[in-house]
Amino acid sequence: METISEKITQANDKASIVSEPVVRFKNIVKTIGRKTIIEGLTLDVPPGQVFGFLGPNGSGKTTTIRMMTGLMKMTAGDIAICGHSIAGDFERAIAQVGAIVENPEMYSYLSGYANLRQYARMRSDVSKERIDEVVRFMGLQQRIHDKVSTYSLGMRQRLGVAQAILHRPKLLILDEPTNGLDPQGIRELRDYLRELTRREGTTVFVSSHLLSEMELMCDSVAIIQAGKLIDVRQLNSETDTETLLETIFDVSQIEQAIALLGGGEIREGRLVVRTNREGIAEINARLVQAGIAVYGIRPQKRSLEDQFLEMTGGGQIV
Amino acid sequence: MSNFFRLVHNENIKIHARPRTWIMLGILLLVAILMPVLFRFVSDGIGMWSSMNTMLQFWFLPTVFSIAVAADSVAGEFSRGTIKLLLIRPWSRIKILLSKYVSILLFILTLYALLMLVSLGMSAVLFDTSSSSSDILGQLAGSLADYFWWALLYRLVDTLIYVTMAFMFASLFRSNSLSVALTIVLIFMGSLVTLLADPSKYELGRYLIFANLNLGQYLASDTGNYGVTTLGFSIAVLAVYYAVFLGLTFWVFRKRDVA
Repeated sequence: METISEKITQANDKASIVSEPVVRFKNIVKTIGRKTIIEGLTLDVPPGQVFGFLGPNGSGKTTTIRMMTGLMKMTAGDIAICGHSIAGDFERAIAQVGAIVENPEMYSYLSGYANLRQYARMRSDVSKERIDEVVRFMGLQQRIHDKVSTYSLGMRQRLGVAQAILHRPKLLILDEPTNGLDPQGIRELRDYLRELTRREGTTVFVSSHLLSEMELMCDSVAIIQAGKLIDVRQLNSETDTETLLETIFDVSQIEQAIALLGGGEIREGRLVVRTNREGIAEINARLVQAGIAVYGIRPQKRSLEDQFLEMTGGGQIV
Repeated sequence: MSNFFRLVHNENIKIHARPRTWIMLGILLLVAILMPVLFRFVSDGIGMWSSMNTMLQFWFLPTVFSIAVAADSVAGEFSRGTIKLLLIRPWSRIKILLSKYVSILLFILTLYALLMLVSLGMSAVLFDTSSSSSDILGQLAGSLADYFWWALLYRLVDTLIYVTMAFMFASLFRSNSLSVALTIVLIFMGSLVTLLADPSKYELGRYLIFANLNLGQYLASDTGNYGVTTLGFSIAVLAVYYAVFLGLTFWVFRKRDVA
């Protein structure tokens, strides 16, 4: 069992390297009345990632997600999901998608299980065993036969994720999934999103205005403001050796160190150098060889929040 | 793609999982059982078909209940927000809405069958099954049984039109209460409108939906209540209204941005 699923995961990983983006936004425009909500959004979402869609409130995140799921029509442009156009070939495109748009609204007069059965009946590829598997995966087995009206918000959220992953979608879209969740719930959500990408190779597209959360959850983020894409960047990439980072060296003789390295500055009694991963090791070696004691080395990772504030001018963050 | 009837099955579950549906069925059951008993006490020597024709007075109940269910089937999904999870499945909006419409048609038939079968059974037990001396035949050409079956069929046509109207309002306005209220108001306004735009005086009046609803009018007279229309004419006018209602309903539902 284990080895088969591992093989599948590996196969998925290999496939994802060569395969095309899971989502391809091609110059999306959405105008409502005279107001332009989305202004020429072009973006590729690579497979197998947790991809964040970050922006202040009112920047067009939910509108974009509604267009991705066919709830809203695009004014211009097209979105392709696994190569199928959402405008031209809706049924085939949406078949690859599981989503929660805003709050996970369910039929409160039905049980959680009956709700899942509703969505299972709308597909030909969801067995009863699969429903049970998803219920277990989301930790809902205790209450699944109770009416949804008796569920807490956290449980509704989990049921929402359950209906979204029932058919093993290639793309999972979550719109502000952490809204109203307590820290425990947010942590759980993060964990099972990780688990999903790892185990089933699902690509997760998640929107949020909460920067700190996106940092913990995502592999990459696209930043959107006022309907325009500002930036796309990788996060948490340990193997990212090229990026220059400010690194703080706590050394015994700062002046000598600066003279030796021919650069760097003094900040709060410590030496600050801009360098990459390899550079840190090299500087350390040179300092030690020159007889300068190194007490500590600390690369300053700027948080996404700093970067985000920098890019958006800080004015519109909620 | 999986079977369309699984969508209809989903809609049926949504209708029958609600307590209010069972209250409606309970009311119909009570009416169907108790009314023939009441007739037995108040009128002497009538036959079962007289009882059934009197039962027709209560056939507004399935109409009103079906209107409520039809409006909620569409508008309720919007007000609860469940429409979003419904529309992001590999089904076209047309098929999703059609499955709702089919489930409502089944609901109408269920209500009609329940009321008809139970009251027919009660009447058969309580009354003389052959026609009786006190039956009032009036100007009727055929038997009372024939009259009942035709009147029932025409009622079904009325119910279908009103329910389709409520379904349309729900798709247009996405509000349950507004859709039900509008439909009920139109039912009551019908006679007032035809009074003002009297079809026997004004040509235009003949093409109003209200002048042509209640096909039962042709059981009494071949030229209807106003002496200017025929059964065929009314059926044609109703068919046009029906097609326009349904066309508008599906067109709006398909085009609409779901927020």
